[in-house]
Amino acid sequence: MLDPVEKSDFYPVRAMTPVTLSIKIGNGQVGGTNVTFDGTPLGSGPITNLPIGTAGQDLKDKSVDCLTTVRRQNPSSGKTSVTYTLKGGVQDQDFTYNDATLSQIGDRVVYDVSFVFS
Amino acid sequence: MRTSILMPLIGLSLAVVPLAAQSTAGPAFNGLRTPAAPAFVLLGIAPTEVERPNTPADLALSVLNRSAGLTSLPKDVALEISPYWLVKHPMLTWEADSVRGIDSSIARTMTISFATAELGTSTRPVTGLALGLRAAPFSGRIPARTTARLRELGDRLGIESRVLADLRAERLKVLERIRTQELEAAGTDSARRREALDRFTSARGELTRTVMQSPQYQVSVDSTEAMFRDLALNREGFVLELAAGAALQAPGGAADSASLARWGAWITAGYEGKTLSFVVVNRFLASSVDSIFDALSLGMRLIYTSGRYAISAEGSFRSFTERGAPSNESRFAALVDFELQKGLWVTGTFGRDYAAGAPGSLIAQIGLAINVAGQRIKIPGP
Repeated sequence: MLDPVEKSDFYPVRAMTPVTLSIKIGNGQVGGTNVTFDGTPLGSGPITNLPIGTAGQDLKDKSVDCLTTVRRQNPSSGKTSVTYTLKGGVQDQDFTYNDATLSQIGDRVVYDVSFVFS
Repeated sequence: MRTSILMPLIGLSLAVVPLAAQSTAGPAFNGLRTPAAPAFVLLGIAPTEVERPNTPADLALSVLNRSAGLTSLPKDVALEISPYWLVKHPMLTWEADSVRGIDSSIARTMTISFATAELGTSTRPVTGLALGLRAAPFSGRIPARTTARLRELGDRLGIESRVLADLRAERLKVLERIRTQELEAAGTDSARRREALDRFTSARGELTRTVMQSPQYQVSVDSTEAMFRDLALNREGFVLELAAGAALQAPGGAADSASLARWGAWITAGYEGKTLSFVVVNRFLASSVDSIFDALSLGMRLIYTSGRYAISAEGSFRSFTERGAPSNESRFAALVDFELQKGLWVTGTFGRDYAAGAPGSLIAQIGLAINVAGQRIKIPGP
């Protein structure tokens, strides 16, 4: 298996306002994600509009950790990409990472991504 | 065309992306093998007369060796590119690609091929150069049973990721505590905050790589692979492909002597099923050198796949369009493909070529098709 793709970014949030997370696996590949927030499991599998935090909770300096495993299924391309969409902060933002190319069907790569709320 | 008895044929798939990247022969044969480039067809060196529409690779290099006894290096080379798949498509999910409209189907199946072949003899060498183009306005759809399996795979990969997260959870908490302290110490200094985050990313990456070597995680990965090893993303249903191209001939290999020799266009239509496929090709090939051999061909091929082998039968009928041309001809062939091991195929073609009465019209070829592509791009480190 390839080495994991390791990324971290800041996401500016508004005080006492929860955010949502959606994850899109691109280039026609298949993947699944496990999401933890502040050390607590939030969900796994396909992630769409997953609430992070609760109303009145201060998210600043807390982080959401995403482990996304992508398996090559597309016979036409080995390119992989994962787009993490955060909404509800200062502004909605897409974080797209596409650092790995898989040579054969069935090959896999783990995207190890954290977002720190600032 | 191919008239030598027991002429070995090697199709080496030296692709930047593998041409035959699959685990099992049945579904893999059906869906994932890149067909002969149109440029090869125009040069008259394609392994089959009736080629199915198929899945393009983003970049593929095909090498054919038509020498008897494998005694010389391959001289017939085709490069085929799919412009769409050469670039990244981060917003294209497999679900969005499961059903295609006409425009998206054309974009995702269009390929451009270039080929060279040695068409002359040792005493009168002639280099052939060809350019081909193909695209499929209709390329089938991912069947419901495959869609269900892909969703199961996505869920399973989520579980795998959870196993990984659980295995590193305790040590990750320590790293996050350190990161929080460093971020607080950095205050509003964005450069120091970024540095603190980068240190955390590096340490977390090392932790993740270590945990990925653990037996517990490996068991989880192996379990997934056991469940989905045979999963191939085959498209089924109606397919329609258009192709065209032109070929130049350069006697003696001299560039100044190159001239248009052949051009052609063809339509391929068919139905792709789970184990049975049927395809019809209507092709017009013309020669600017000698128009007496301008011909309209109609070919049919029936393919059955099961397990590690595929059997097909093809027949084609050719009618010359010019006055004084030879009479109509027909060709029949049976093709067998057997996967010896992953990526290594034995292929055989047997039958009767067009000029049945002429010496060498018996088709009898056995060869190997090898996928030699391996892991080719290492992910850059953090």
